[in-house]
Amino acid sequence: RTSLSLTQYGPDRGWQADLLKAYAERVREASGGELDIRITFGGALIAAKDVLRGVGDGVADLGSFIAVYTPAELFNYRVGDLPVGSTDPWVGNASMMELVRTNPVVKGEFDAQNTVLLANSTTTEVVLICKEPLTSLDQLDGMKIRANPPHSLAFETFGAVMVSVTTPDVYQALDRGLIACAQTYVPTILPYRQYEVAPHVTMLDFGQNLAFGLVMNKRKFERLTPALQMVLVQAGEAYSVDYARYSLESFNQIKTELASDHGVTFHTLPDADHDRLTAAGQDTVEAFLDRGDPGVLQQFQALQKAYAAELQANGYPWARQ
Amino acid sequence: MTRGEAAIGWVISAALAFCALYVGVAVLSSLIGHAMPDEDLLVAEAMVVVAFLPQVLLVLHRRHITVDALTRHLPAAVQRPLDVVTALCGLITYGALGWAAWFALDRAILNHSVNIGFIELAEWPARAMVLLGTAGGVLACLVDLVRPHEAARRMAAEDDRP
Amino acid sequence: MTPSLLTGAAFGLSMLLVAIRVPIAYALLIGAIAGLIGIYGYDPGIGLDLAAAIRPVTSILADVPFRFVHSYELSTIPLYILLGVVAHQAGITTDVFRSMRTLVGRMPGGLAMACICGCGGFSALSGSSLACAAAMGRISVPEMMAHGYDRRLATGTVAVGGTVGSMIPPSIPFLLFAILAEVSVSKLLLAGILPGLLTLLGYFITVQIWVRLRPEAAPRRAERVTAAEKLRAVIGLWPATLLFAIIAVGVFTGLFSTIQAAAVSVLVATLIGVARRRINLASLAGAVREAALQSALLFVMAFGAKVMISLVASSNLTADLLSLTAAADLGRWETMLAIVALLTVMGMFLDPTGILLLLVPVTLPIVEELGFDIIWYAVIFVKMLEIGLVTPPLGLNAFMVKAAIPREYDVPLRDVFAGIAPFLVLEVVVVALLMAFPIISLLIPSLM
Ligand code: NA
Ligand code: NA
Repeated sequence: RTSLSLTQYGPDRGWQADLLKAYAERVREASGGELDIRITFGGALIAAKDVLRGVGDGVADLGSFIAVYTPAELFNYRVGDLPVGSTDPWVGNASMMELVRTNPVVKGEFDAQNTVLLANSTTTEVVLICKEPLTSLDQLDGMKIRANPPHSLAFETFGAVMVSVTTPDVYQALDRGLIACAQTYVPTILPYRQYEVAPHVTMLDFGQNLAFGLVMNKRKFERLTPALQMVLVQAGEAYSVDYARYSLESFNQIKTELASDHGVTFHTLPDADHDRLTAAGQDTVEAFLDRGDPGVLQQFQALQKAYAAELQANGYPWARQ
Repeated sequence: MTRGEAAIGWVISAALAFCALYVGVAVLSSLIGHAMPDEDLLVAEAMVVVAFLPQVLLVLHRRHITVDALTRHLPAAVQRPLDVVTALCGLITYGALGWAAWFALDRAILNHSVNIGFIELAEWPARAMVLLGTAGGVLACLVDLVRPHEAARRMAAEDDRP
Repeated sequence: MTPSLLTGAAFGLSMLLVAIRVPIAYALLIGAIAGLIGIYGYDPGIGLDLAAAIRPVTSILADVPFRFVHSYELSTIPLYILLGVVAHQAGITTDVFRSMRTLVGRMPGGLAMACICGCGGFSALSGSSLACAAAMGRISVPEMMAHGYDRRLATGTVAVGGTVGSMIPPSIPFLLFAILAEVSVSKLLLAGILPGLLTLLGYFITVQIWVRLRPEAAPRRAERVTAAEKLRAVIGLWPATLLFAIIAVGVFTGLFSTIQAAAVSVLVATLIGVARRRINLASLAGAVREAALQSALLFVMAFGAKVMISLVASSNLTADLLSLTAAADLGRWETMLAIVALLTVMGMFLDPTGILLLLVPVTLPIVEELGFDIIWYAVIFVKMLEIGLVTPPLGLNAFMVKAAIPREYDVPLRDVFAGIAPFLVLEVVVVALLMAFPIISLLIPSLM
């Protein structure tokens, strides 16, 4: 019987925590009790910024990580953070899983860190939450906002001034008027209560963040029998699909709830502005290609097209008979 | 104060003064609608200097906080071995931190690691600063091991205090 | 040996080293390293395999202290220490205490009372207890001691006074709690106001009892003060009032954050000092160096506390302790008291953020199950964390005060803790009141 530790930077709350527990349970059942996963929540074991290294070093056996914190180490994997392609969680996640499995450059980045990617996650699409309605890109000129690279580069094109604020501090920064808008995601708005201080959300249709997920220590993984390895991998695939599903469901549900219970107004940009934003996003893609592998971007975009077509034809896997 | 200590004093002062100035300038520039880049990252980098570089001074000037309620009435013959134990514990502490810093520096260089931010700042200088600071701690503990008389005198002086 | 026992043994090793006057910073880190080697190197099949432990333990030692230090938020501590040093050099703090002596000097324990008021005011600006203790310790301890105050009273007052920094909003622990528990940040911050004020009242009472029992601990001014002297004393407060106003107006209008407020007030205090010809380049450099040294002294102790948290997290200690509680099959209030006892014990040995990360996720389901109000629980939790900051052996606020006072006023750590002890007696009463009357915590949030 092998006991594995799993470190999660997030709290023991909500569907993300439930999914991790379901992952542990699925692994335990499928391995006939041979693999036992113990989860530490709240980043007490490894801080969010150090998860990839910590898991590679064996501080924890598994961990949910965010690639933003290791931009050099997982440069090509971060193709998933570029503002390109589908905003659908399932299309994004499925494309990333297949990319890491089949692309030697991206897989090599995880190998070099002594890690194996077991599952991929998604933030759902990038949105801006603002104190006042944001309905035109021209309003960004001179406005202080919190946004993260790579999306921030596009906002800067329109004259926005970047202020760095961590996710937990966004509430206070908005409340005190330090920033007028913050880049965020619909599911993040509710737990951090950002709607209390900024009741306007602008939907950008500007890609999603896909460069995060669940990794395992490679050496520990390879010491397991092929059958047990398969258990972890298959449970990871199921986790990725479930992650997309719950992201989508919570996205829709929270959007409704924010509008009806918390008085949040949702805005969209006019078509002309959306085209300008997409064009500005192209600079970010160029910047990626300066150092990244063009093959990775090509494959990622092809995969997104293929999965989007599959979605069009067959619907989501959980809705199929 | 030796020239080396003075130099370290200037570097850590510069790092902390930089924090106050950069943050202050950031406030002023935000009043005129301009944001200074990466205020948080640059201050964090300076914090590494402030935290690690003074370790050598803390050891040499015996600034580390201790509890001597149980040992202060022990005879002088016991004080010397206790000083040795302290110096050895210091060697273990700074040695372990320094070893880990070496490991982290090596990896940061190998991976070309950078910090997230608007300017891409390489990670290795901060890691090197940790190594430098802990190496200073190791050196100071070695000095402590070979200066027994002064240590004993210090203890005596403390016992004389009201 | 189970991981939990191993963790206990690691604490024991640290305490043993502290007892033979090994610096606290070394003792904590060595105990934690020994425990981690045991956790990562012990394999039930093979026994102790040191080689297996090297990489994970190295990784923790490389990243935990670095992550703690490589932080924008952490700069509040050196900046507020620096503010204290510069304000002292500029003569601002001496003016404040000279004025206070004129105004409240005839009141028993007047300066200590003024210091507690200062802590209350400062905590409304700062979210961190340590920053609060740093600033007030540097400013008020030397002045109180110069006025003949007992060093225990002087240091104890500042160490406990700093703890309201996290009760009165803004508050970093409440913010973290709100995020971990997914409850309203604003309600939680408001919930801290009355408990914070109640705590301050408790400190006033403690000081009054102290100076009545031992009048020599706080010498009083004998002579009468004329109205003109009083007016002059009030006018003498202008630089301090200006600094406070800059911070308060800046923070509350959203012009700048608490960290920025620290930096701006350092710069303004420097300008005042230069204008008064009390500060020159050489003395300023000395002040900055001293502030950096004091910060480094505190940070290296925090490394040990942080690595200890990694040890506790990688062992099963919290889960084991809670299952012990569960196995005892206690009633609703007994369970709550057991959690408070656990918080007290952990507060003695671990740093507050670590306890928050470790205990909030595991205790919250229990507390909710028992039907307690989460906002109320948050107040009790943060209150216990704050008490943990001043309890030995690991009392970061006590260390902060010890580190922040100038060397010529060298106060042994045991005197700082001895000074804290009377306040702890009153803290027990405050906690009991908070537990018995949840309305104290819930009144203001319920008005929202
Ligand atoms: Na506060
Ligand atoms: Na304590």
